[in-house]
Amino acid sequence: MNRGVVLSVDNASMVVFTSGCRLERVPSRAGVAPGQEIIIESTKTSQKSRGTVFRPLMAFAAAIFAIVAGVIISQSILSSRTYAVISVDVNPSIQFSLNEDLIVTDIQALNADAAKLMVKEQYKGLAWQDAVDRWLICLEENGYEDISDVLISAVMPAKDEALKTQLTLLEEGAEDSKYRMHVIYSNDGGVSETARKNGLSVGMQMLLNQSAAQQGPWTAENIKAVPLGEIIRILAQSGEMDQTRITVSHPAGSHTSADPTQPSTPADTRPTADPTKPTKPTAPSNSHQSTEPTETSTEPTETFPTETSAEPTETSAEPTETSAEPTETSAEPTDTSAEPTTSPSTSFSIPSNPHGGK
Amino acid sequence: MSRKDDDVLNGQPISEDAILLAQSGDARVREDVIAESVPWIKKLVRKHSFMISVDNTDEFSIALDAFNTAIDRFSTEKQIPFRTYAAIIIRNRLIDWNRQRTSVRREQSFSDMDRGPIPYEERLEDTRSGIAYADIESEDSMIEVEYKLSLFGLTLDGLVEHFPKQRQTLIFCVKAARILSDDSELFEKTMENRRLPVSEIARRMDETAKRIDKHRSCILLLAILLQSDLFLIRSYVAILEKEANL
Repeated sequence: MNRGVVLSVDNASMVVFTSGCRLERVPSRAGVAPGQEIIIESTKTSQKSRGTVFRPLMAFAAAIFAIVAGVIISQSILSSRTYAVISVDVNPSIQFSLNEDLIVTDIQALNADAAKLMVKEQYKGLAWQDAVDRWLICLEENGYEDISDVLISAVMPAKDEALKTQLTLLEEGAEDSKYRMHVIYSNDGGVSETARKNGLSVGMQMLLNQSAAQQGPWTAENIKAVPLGEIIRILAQSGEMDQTRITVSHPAGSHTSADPTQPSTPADTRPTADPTKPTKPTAPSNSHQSTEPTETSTEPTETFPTETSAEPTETSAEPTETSAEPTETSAEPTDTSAEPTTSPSTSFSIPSNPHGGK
Repeated sequence: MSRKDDDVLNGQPISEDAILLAQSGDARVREDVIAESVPWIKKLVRKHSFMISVDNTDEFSIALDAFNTAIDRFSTEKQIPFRTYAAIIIRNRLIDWNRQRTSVRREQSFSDMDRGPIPYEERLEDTRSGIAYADIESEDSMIEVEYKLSLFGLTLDGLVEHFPKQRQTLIFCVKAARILSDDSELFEKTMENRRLPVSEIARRMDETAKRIDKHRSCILLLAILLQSDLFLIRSYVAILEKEANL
């Protein structure tokens, strides 16, 4: 029990000189006048009684704070999580990571030229279409005026409809523009992972997968050297926008679906195909035509039915042997189009030696 | 009493002779003093009750009653200007009435409503009031303390925040205050100059003037309290000094 002399009184509080010679403010009481000695609650008791009232309040406030903080943090994590990946292959190529609102959260330059031109801060926070526009404008301003083919590729969840629709609209809307927009996408998340491992854009990876499925000649290494326009015309233009089935629709055990890095294997299997089969030379369409015209013009090319992708097991029969000596096989003109009649829809020409002089 | 003193705490010059005459039983002078002070009393009531028109209000009646009490209790020995003294009495009464009204609203049952305000003596006897000791006369001592503090521009409310919490600091302040209050001449000089003799106290305590100056408000309050008639407070300080072997 503590005592004190009231020094002054206000409507709500009193100033008390306590027996411990301290000056304290205590709640006002009726009937107390200055100069009177009063019994005052000890500080501990006061704190205890205050604690009984405030502790549950504090706990409640802390709980509310924790919930709000949790929601905010989870929202920020969700909003920053990569929902889809879009690559713009013009060479220089660039890749955008998008969040669920299809806003650019990260940018990755896929080659040295792109790295020189790219300023990440200029693209972060933009809608992906705006980011693509800005990138194309940036390229134009930096001397890439003769761009004609633009490959927009996306990897997105299967349930996504918004991005798919926007991509379709983009391709349709670009008909009048000076660019030839090629749009492909895949719902297979493994594509972006494989692309990352191969150092390719998701678009190029899809094309590589397409090439592999069609027993094309390109590998993760040599596809980078091929001019974009050519490869698009050969692979993507003939196919569907949706490239998902290339990597995920194969039966279990198929190496193309089991390991997305394998698509290069079919191209390397060509030597195992019967070299005695007649080849069907066509006009070379490889990019290396300009650099090595003689080589490409003399070498026969092959025609691959697009439908061969449905039967990948044939091409993956002996992957190890064929991949062991890729240069030898590439030197020999072969034809692996086992079922040419099954591929009436689209066919394309591939130079027998896409590596060129390498 | 100088004119400067009269201006403190709403103090306005009023003839102390008239107050003394009223105290001696001159009803006419008393009425004149009250009549002259009505505008000032109204102003005080407005200030404390936040009302624009205070005529015919309970607050005004209480203030008039308090002013009348102030005339009776005023003493020139305290050297407090009458208006200052009366203003504190009126303020205390208005606060007390306000708290009493709030308390009645909270605690009294309907059966108690016709009882009216509880007499002051009854309230003192009420164990629920928490009053350990009541000395009506000590109100005057408190008014004196408040007035003296006001000479230094200090208020009790303001001092609460700056009063030392640590025991060692408190003991240091008590020691300094004791030096000041025990030397009547030094204390009077302090009151007259309205400045704490920091250097002198520091010299006597063998302490730095900076430390004394840091706790000047606390030292002043303790010295004023030790110089007052508030024997309870003086006993508290004496106990602390004994505990600290000062």
